[in-house]
Amino acid sequence: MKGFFKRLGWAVLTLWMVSLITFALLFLVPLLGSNEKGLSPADIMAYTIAGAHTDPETIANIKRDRGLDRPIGVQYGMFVRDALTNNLKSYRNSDRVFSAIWRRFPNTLILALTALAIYLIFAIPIGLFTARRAGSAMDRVWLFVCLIAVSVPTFWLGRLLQYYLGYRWGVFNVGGGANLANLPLPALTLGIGGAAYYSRLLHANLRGVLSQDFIRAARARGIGENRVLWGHALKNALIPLVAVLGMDFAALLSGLIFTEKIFAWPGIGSLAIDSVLNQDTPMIMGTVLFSALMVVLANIAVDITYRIIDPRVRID
Amino acid sequence: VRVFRRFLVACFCLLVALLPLCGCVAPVSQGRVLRVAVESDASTLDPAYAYDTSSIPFVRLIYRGLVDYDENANVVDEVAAAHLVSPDGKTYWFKLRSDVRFHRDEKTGAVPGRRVVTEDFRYAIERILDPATASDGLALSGYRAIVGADEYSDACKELNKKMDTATEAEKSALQKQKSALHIKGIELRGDDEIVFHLKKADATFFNYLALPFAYAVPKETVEKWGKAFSENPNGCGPFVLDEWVHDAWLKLKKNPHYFNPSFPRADAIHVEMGNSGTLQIMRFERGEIDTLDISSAFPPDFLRLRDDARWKQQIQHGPMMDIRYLCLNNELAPLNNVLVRRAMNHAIDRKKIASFLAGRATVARGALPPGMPAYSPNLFQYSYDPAKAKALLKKANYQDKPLTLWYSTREGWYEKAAQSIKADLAAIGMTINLKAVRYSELKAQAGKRKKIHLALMGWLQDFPDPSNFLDVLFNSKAITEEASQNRAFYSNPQVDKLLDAALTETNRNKRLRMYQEAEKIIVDEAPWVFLHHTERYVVCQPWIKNYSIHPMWSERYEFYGVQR
Repeated sequence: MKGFFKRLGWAVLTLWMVSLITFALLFLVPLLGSNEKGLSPADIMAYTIAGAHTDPETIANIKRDRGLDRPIGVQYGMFVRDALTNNLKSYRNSDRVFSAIWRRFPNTLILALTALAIYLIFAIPIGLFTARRAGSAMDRVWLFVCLIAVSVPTFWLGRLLQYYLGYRWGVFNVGGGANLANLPLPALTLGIGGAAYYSRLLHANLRGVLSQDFIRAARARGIGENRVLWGHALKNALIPLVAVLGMDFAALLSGLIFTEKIFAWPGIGSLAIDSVLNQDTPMIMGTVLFSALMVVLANIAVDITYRIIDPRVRID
Repeated sequence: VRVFRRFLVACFCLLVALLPLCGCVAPVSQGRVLRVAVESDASTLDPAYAYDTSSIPFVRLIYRGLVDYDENANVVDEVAAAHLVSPDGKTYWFKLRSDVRFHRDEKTGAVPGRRVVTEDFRYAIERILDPATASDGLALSGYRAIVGADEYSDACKELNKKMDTATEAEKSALQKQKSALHIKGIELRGDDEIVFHLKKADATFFNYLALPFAYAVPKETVEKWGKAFSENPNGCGPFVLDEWVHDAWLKLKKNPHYFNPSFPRADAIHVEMGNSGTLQIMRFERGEIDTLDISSAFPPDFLRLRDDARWKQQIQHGPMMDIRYLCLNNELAPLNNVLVRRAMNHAIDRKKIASFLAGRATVARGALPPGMPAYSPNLFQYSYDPAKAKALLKKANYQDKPLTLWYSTREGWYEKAAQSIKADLAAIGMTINLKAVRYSELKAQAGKRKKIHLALMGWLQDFPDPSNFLDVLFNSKAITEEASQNRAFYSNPQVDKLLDAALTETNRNKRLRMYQEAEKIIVDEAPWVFLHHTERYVVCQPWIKNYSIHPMWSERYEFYGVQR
């Protein structure tokens, strides 16, 4: 239990550091992108918020309303307070940042879960199949296929699937809003690379496990090869996968920028990229903090899962 | 085996459990629903801020003004039942229809809400003239033409300043004081009659009343929602806001209590945001969306649709009512020399620049686009003639010193055009450096006096009247130190005189002739390089009825019928 709290402490510390870094970026980024000499980051931010209305009075008003004229420490305090009370608001409209993220969360969650399901549904049979035939020509062919699938970038694969499977052959919808009919292509785009990656990971793990004593013992007891593979080896080979899977799930939940954008899937990834394009700083900070939170939570979840599936593992 | 099976079953169960959740987020639309896909979110649904093409088409569905435009962009009554203009052009009288109601009652939630009365129109204009609102309408001359408008703005400014430092108790007192302030020149005669008194005759005043800035707004709704008024609109237009998730989707449904029973023709409008241009075209071809603006579609995609037998008959086009131009700062050397400016007009191959849009542009003569009243098809046009340009430079005694051309990264066309201009000017011995910035920054920099030499810009009409081009962009009155609209800083007393006289002239033909004369002088003095006017192209599904391109509004969704 002590270990768990220590973990939690680290998690809070990590989030705090992330908030500091995002806050610092808030001041650095406008400085890097500006052509105007002699403007403070607060001015530049105010100009960004103002958009078309650039008279000095509006700028002064914005700076006062948003507290941009206060000392940096105070501003950071305001930022933390707003973030904790969900009062962080978009520059462009009256959306609360975390409400906007929360509204899109179901869309991202469904896409992430489908992608994860595709990973496992394909990875486990392929991993088992190739691990048993390690070193054979068939194994090499699969290795080759998997390497290609892992290396293909999603922004290219997505467009390719969209064009051929969707537009040309009409097998699936090409994209649009978050409805079920539009789910297959983005899920496949994410799933193909992931499935290939996990099948290789599982392959390596299985080979390790299969050479261990308890497998030999199982075989010596006359247990059938299938049962050895599915019942004894797979369970042990899947354990190290949990950690990677947990982190991947966190990454999926923080939004898939390219995939969501290509298929116009209104999730957290497209929210993040829209905020960047619109220079909506609070929204950018919100999505970054949310991603950090997902990663931290996934870490804790993985630790807990480990303890449950393998009691030998200690958290300390 | 059991562990694995259990795991798979769990995976599937989770998936199946989540699917309906996803389904209800955005049900697939059917029936008489107009489906539209766009690239970016509507910037606002608050009429006080509706000043761009992403917001105006939707704001004018929810809100309505005293007057609107007919098919040919003539002003006609909308919420007004009748109107009269005094012979001196200084007094505008309107009588309101008695059957116009807001979508909902803000206090009781009843549908439909209370009647639209004259006070709602006065409040809308007072709201945009209050500097605290920070509306784009504040800078427009049309609202300032009302007697007492400037005084009202100034008084609001004073009160706003006091409010900044006031305590809560003082604030509410000041707020009350502000509510009691009114524009002297807007006279209410009960709930039905409203009269506008202008400082001097202004032939364009109707146009300002037809802009969303002047649409009826219920004060109680604005006060209840504050900044979130944009997300909780309450107007008297043909559609009611159903659901709006920023950057994701916007749903509007038919207002059954709309005062004109023939409209709207569709039951609902579903707009999906975040669809890239490519995705929009794919979805259109698959029949998933109903109308598609292809004016700025990727040229190969545009050409493919244009030449496709399936879509050829479904494409309509009309002028965008804009001008793309290279703005020359007339106050900075060497551009203060008219010979250099004329040389540049001759040196730049405008046909080539227009060709980057794959036929969706007409090479310009002057500033006024075809379709605009006072447009003259026989106006002098600078020919592409590098030899002549060189001779003019020589005559001007031009010494080459690199100039910087600023352009925006908003659209691919700007970058190509900038490079093409650079090459054309290099051919006559002018060195140009290019500088790419964001559009807002380009606008800010180009508006500052004596700041930058060359800016590649565009101007889209606010309303179909020549004053909206010539008066705004070339009158020396439009020059300011920090945020000038006259970005060429062009000043010619003769042109000013013509433009000022035209604005107050009540005889339409005489008025248009004055604008033609002014444009002739402007073209001769070449304050810009006049590039081209773009053309709007829209393709519709065969089941969309009554689609037409309008000279004022980019979309009139209430007119489109859906017959699947």
